[in-house]
Amino acid sequence: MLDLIAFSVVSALSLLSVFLMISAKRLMHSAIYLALFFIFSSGILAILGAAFLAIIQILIFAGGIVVLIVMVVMLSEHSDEKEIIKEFRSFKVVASIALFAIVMLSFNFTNQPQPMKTFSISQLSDVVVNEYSMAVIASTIMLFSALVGSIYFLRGDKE
Amino acid sequence: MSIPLEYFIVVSTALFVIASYGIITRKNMLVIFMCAEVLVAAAAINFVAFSAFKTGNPIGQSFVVFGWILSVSDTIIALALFMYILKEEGNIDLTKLRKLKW
Repeated sequence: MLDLIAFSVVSALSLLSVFLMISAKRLMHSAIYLALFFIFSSGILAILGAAFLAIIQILIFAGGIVVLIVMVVMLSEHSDEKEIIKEFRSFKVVASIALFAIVMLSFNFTNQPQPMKTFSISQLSDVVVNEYSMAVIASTIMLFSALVGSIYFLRGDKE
Repeated sequence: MSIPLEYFIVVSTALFVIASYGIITRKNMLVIFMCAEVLVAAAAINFVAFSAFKTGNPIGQSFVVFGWILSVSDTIIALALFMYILKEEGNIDLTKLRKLKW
């Protein structure tokens, strides 16, 4: 019962922070709500038993990526008006609700409490490093090439 | 644990729908990028939920790890691109960036 209450609070807060993020007027408020969303969704991951992923979500996403976004926000110009594409707005609301309804209708909900299996960090690292070792190597190459590409974008003109 | 799997699916679908509504409504590229981050987080919740309830192995969690690596390299490129567009054009409003549109 206690975990159900914790799950409801955390998921309601994360939904609320995403809603406030897309409806905030200033970009800085959006970035702060994004950090709040990462913290609350790491709570959802922790309830699911993925402790390592929850810690990584807070460390990398709420700690690193939000700081990068805040840096770009500070460099961009400030405008107090909310920028929204006003065409077809009601159609977009209806389409979003229809997408939610279609996904919900495609499941048959049994609402039975099922047994949940949690995995330790050693099991997760065994799968990542042993079974998917080629994917680890490929992702390191991809991260390195992304770094080189970002340096290419932001290099000064040295003629 | 007494939480059914469906609650996690409902929450992640709601996050996905709200974030995709933000993508198609907002003009600023940074807000759209933040919504893309929320999409990745919603997919991660789904992966971890199915890994915990349906399968007996942590492959779903390892997929989340690789998805986050993808998302982080996406962030590097996107923020560098935003800085470049800011330097060249002066704004990151999607409706004013029409150089490639003839």
